[in-house]
Amino acid sequence: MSRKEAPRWASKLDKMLEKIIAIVGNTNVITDKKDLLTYKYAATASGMPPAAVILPESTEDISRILQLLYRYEVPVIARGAGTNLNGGTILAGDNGETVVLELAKLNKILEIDPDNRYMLVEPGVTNLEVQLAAKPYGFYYAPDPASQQVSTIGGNIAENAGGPRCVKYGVTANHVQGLELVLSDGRVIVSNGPLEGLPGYDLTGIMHATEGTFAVITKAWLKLMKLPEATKTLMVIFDSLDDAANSVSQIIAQGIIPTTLELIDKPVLQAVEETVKIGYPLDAEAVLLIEVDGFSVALDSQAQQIISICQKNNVRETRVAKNEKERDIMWEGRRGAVGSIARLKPSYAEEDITIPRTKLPEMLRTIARLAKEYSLIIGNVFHAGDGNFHPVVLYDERNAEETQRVTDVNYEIMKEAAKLGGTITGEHGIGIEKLKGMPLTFTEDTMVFMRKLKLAFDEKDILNPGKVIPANICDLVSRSNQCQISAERKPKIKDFMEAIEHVGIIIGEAFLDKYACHGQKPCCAVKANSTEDVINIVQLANKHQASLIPWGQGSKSDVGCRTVPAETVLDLSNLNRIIDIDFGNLTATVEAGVKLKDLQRLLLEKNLFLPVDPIQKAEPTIGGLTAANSTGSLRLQYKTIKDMLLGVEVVTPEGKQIKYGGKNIKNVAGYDLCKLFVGSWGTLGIITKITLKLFPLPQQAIYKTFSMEDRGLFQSFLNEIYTGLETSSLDFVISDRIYYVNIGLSGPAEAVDMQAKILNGLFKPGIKQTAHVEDRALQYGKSFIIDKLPTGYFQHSGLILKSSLLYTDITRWIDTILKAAGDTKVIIYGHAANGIVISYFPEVIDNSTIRKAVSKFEQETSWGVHIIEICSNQFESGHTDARKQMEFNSSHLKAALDPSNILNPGRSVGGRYYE
Amino acid sequence: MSKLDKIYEDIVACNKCGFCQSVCPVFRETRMEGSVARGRIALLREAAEGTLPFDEDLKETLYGCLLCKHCQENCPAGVKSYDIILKAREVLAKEHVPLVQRFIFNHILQFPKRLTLTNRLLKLYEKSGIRSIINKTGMIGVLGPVAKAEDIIPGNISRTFRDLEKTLTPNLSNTVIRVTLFVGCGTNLLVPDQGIAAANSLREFGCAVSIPEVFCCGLPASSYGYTKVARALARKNIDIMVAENSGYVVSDCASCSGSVREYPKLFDKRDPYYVKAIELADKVIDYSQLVLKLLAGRALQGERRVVTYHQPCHQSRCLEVKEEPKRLLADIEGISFIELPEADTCCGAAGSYMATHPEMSEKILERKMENVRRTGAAILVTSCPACLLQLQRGAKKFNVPVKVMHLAQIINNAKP
Repeated sequence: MSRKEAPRWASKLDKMLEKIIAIVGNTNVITDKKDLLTYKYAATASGMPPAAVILPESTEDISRILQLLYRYEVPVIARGAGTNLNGGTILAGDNGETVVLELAKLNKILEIDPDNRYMLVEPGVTNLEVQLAAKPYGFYYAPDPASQQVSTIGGNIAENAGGPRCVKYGVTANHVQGLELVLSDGRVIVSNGPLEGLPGYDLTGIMHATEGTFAVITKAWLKLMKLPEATKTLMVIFDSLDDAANSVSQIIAQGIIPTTLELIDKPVLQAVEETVKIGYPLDAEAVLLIEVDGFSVALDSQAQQIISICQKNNVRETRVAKNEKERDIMWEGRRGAVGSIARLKPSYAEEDITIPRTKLPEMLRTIARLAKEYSLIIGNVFHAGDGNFHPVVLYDERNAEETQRVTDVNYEIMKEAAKLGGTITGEHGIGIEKLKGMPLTFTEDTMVFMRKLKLAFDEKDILNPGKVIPANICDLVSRSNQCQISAERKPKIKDFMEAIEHVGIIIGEAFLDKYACHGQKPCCAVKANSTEDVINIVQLANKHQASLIPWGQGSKSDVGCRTVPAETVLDLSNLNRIIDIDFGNLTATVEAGVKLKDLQRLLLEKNLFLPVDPIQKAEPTIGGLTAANSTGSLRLQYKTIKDMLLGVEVVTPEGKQIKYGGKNIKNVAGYDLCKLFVGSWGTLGIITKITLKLFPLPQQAIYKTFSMEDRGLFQSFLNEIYTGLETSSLDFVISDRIYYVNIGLSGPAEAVDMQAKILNGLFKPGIKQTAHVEDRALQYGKSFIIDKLPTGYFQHSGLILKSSLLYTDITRWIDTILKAAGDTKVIIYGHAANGIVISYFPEVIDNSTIRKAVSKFEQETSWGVHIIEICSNQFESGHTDARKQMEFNSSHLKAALDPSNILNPGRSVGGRYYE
Repeated sequence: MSKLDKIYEDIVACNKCGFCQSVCPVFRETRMEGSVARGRIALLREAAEGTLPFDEDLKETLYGCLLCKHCQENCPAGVKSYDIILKAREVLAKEHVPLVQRFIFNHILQFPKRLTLTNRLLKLYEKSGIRSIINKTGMIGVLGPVAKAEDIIPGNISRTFRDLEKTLTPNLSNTVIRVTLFVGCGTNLLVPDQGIAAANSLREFGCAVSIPEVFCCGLPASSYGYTKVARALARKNIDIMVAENSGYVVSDCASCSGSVREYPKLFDKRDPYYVKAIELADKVIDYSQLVLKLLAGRALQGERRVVTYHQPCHQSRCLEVKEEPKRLLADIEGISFIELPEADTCCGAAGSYMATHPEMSEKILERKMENVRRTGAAILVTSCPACLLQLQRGAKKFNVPVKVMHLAQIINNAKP
C-alpha cells in the first residue's frame, strides 16, 4: 500500500509498532501484507487481515505492549492456535488498525507439582502437551476438547472449552485454579495462584469464556487429577433415536455418571462405516458410546446397570470393549465421525447448542424436521451426556444460496434450543458468528450489564472489540466514568423508609436486633415478598441514595468487615419457593431465601443431594451460601457452589432484573455471571433465584476418624492417605494437642470396601480409631468438625483466621500457629487436600503474635493467604499478590457495576485480608 | 480461471481446523501461521481465487515447507497438503526458472556420470572456495542429494558405491528370492557403506540381489517442481528395473524407495508407463519389512547397546512403514531398544532444505538431537542417507554422545 492510500491511523500505528519492535524484536512482529493474510481466518470464519501480528515471549513483553496499545487506543486480539469455531480471533469489523497478539511463543510448562496437584503453564501450551506432561506422574487434566492436540490452554480458558469427559468432570472453569492476567492498561494481576478458597471476587472464574475481551491470560495454574485405575467402554446400538436418547437421561437419573456419553446418529454412523470399518449396522438409528472410569472392582456393576437401562429401552446390541484395542476401535469411530461425514460435501458447519438432558429426544426430532425443511444433510454426533449437541450441517460454501440456508438453519437450531430452556452455545462461544443469537437467550438488561462488566476490565474497549456482545447493546453503554465510586452518597433514609412502606414489610424497631452486624443495628430493615419487591426496593434505594444489605438468615453477617455502617437490611427470607426440582436433568431451581435444610430434605427423599456442608450451626439460605460460596468438608469431592451453579437471577444495583444461565451444564453464551455473583457477598447484585446442579447420593459412604498425639505421626498418616487413597473428604481437627483425622470414603460399594481395606493397612501404633460412621448423606464430615468446636466459634466471638495454603505447607503452618499460641487456647481445623486451614482462638490473641507468625511463615513459603473472618481487633500485613487482586476488585468491579455504592457498601468480600 | 485450477478442489478441502500445527516441525520453531500447512494453503487459495498474485513472492510459502508429509498424515479432513505444495511448485517453476536450476536439472541430474563428476569436483574444489560460490548462486539448493552433503560431506569418502561394488559378498548359489537393490545418488556418492551393508546382509539372508545402475530417483526434481525431469528419470528407471524381473525392489534409502513407490503419480493414466509404474511400485518394499520376512521369526544376536531409531519421513509417510524397523531392532538379542520421542518427526535435512534453510534446519535438528539425548542411547539408527548425515552432523554440533548408523549396518553386524 502506498503512502498516499495509507489510512489515517497508519502513521500512528507505525510509530507504535516501532516501539513494539524495540520490545520484542524485529522477528517477532509481522507486517508483511502477504503474511498478514494468514491471520484473517480462524477455523470457521474469516475477516479482514490485521495491521500487524505481534509475538511476545513473556508476561513482561505483553505488559509493555499493552501499555502502548492502551495509550494509542489500538484494538488488539489475543490469539493462541486460531482453532476457535466462532470467529473469536478474527477482526469483527473493518477497523484495519487492529493488531493480533499471538501467544504461541509463550509455550512453556513452568512447573509440575504432583504433591500439590497442579501444573503451571503459559497460555500457548496445548491441552495435549499438558496431558502428556501430567501422565508420568499418574495425573491428568480433565478438560479434553476435540481440538486438544492443537488448541492452547489460553484458548481453552478464553472459550471455557469442554470435551467428552465433561459429563463427569466438568468444563475448563472447574479445573483452573488460578491465573496471571495482564489488564488492558498493562497491569499484571495474579488471581489465586495455586490456592483455593480465597476471598475477593472470583477473577479466575469470571475470566472463563470471555474470549479475550477482559484481559490477556499469561499463566494458568491447572488442577491435576489422579488417573483413574481403570476404564470400561461400551458401545450400544439402537433402532430408534428416542430409545437412545431416553437411555441417556435415564442412566444419569439413576445416579451413574459416566465419564463420557456420546451419541452418533444414522447419517454419521453410515459415513463413519464408509471410511473406518467399526462394524456399525448400517440400518441402526443411533449408537451410544459410553465410558465409565474409577476403581476396576466397581466398573463391572456400573456397566451392568447401564446395560440393563439400555435393555429396558429396546437396545439392539451391546458391545463391551474387552481390551485396549477394542476400545480404540470404538473411539476411532467417534473421533473420525465429523471428518467422515464432512467428506460428503466440500464444507460443513458444526453447530453447538446445549439443552437440558431430558429434552434430547425432542431436540433430535426438531433437527430432523429442520434438515428436511431446509433440504440439508445434518448429522448428529455429540456429547449426549450433558445435552451438548453438535449438528453437522453439510454444504458447499461456493453455493451462495445453499450457504444462506445453512446460516438460516443454524439460527433456527439456536432458537429451538433457547425455546427448550437450552443455550445457544455450549462450548464453542459467541465470537462474532453467534452474536445474532444473543438476544435469543438474554434480555437487553442482561446484555447491558455484561457490557458494563466488560468495560470494568477494559474501559477503552481495546481487547477483542466487537465480540460476545452485539453492537447495538454496546452502543447503549457509555465508556466514560467507569472506575469511580461516586464520592459521597447523601442518603435520605427517612424518605426511603416512607417510600418502601408500600413495597415490602417494614420490620419493627423492636426486632432490629436480629439484623445487627458486629453488634450494630441497622437504621431499618425491610422484608421482600417477591422479586418485584426487590426490584422496587432497589430502585427506591437508588432514588434516595440509601444503601442496602441483602440478608438471608444472617448466618455470615459478621464475617469479614464492614467499613460503612449498615443502613437498611433487605431481608430475603420470604423468597422461599422451591420452583423446580428436575430429577431427570439433576437440577434444582429455588428462590434465594430457601433454606439449605429444606431443599436437602426434599432431595434426600429422591436419593439426591446438594453437596454443600458449611461448618456452621445456623441454617443458611441457598442465596446466602451462593453469595458466600460457602461449603465445608465436601469440597474435596464436589468442589464448591461455584462449580454447581448453573443459573442465577439477580437484581442489579440499579434495580434491573437480569438472568444468566439455566439448567445446562455447559454454557458459554455471554459472560458467565454465575462466576461473578457467586462469592460476591451481595456487593454486586441481589441474587433472587438460583439453579444448581444436583448429585446422586453415593451407593455407599463411610467415615473413619482417627486420633493421635504425635505430630510426626499425624503428618505421615495424613500424607499416606492423601497420596494412597481417593477420599471424598479429608479433614482434621487439632484440639488440646490431640490430632484428629477424619476420612470420608464414598462411591460404588465395591470401591468403598476396597479403599477401606487399604485404609486399615495404614493403621499404626499410636493411632486410635475413634469413630466409624456409615452416612450416605455425607453429613459426618461436617459434624466431625462441628462437634469439636466450642460454642464461641458459632457465636462469632474470638478470632477466626482462615488460611489458604499449599497442601505441603499445612503441617508447617499448624506448627507455626501452635507455637505462636503458646498457652493460649487454639483449635485448628482444616480440609487438608484443599489446603484450607482455619485457626480459632476463643479469646482474642495479641496482634503482634499472629503478625510475627504470619510474616515468618511467608518468608519460608511462596504461597499462602491469610484472612480474618471474625475478630474485633485490627491487624496488619498481608500477601502482595493477594493484595493486588483485592485492589483491582474494589477499584474496578465494584465501582463499575455499583457506582452509586448502593449494595453492601464497605463490605469486605469474604473476609478481611490479613493486613 | 487460474494456474492453480488443477489443485483448487484439493485446496478448498482445507477447513482450517489447524491440526497441522501440532505436527509441523517448521511451525514448532516459528509459531507463525504462514509456516504451517493451513497458512500455506490459505495463501494458495487466495492466489487461486485471484486475490493474491501467484508469483515469486510465494516462493517462500512453497519452499519453506519440508515436504515431510506429517500434516497430511494428521489431517482430519484428508487434505493432500504435500501434493498441493508439490503441484504449486511445479506451476511456479514453469514460469520462474532460475538458469542455474534449469542447467542442473536438465544437464546434470539426468546423467549419472556427470553427477558423479560434480560430486568429485565439489570435493576437489572444496578448499579453493567453490563451496561458497555454489552456495551463493543457489546452485546448492538444487543439487539434491549431493547438495545435502554441503558442509557435512564426510571427510573420508574417497570412493563411490560403484567403485566399491566388486568388494561385495557374492550372491549365494541356490537362491530363490530375487531382489533388486536401488542404490540412489546419496548412497552411491556419500555413504556407500550403508549400501554395501544392505547388499551384503540381503545376500547373507539368501537373496539374489541385483544392483543395476539406476538414474536419480527423481525426487529432487519433483521437489523443485521439475515434474518433467522427474518423469523422464522415472521412465528410465522403470525400464531398468522392470527388466530385472525381481520379486522385490528395495533400497537402503527410504526417500528413493518412497519416490519409486510414488512413480504412478507422475503419469497420466493413458501413458503406457502408468501400468509399468504401478507394477514396479507394488514391488517396492522397505528394507526392514523385507528383513523381517526373511528372518521369519528367527532372532539375531547383537551387541549389548542401547539403541534408538529415527524414522525418515519418506519411510513413515510414503512407504507407510512405522513399526517394522523398531520391531526389528527390539527383537535383536542384546540390544535394548528405546523409543525416540517424536521419532517420526523430520530431522531437518529434507533434501536440500538443510542447505537452502540452514538456520531452520538446524533448529529442527537441535530438537531432534535433544530428544535423542533424552533416550540415553549409544546408537542412533535410521534408514536414509540424508537423515544419517544430518544426524551425524547434529551429534557433533550439539554434543550428543551417540553413534549414527544405518539399519542395514546393524543387521549386517548382527549374528544369526
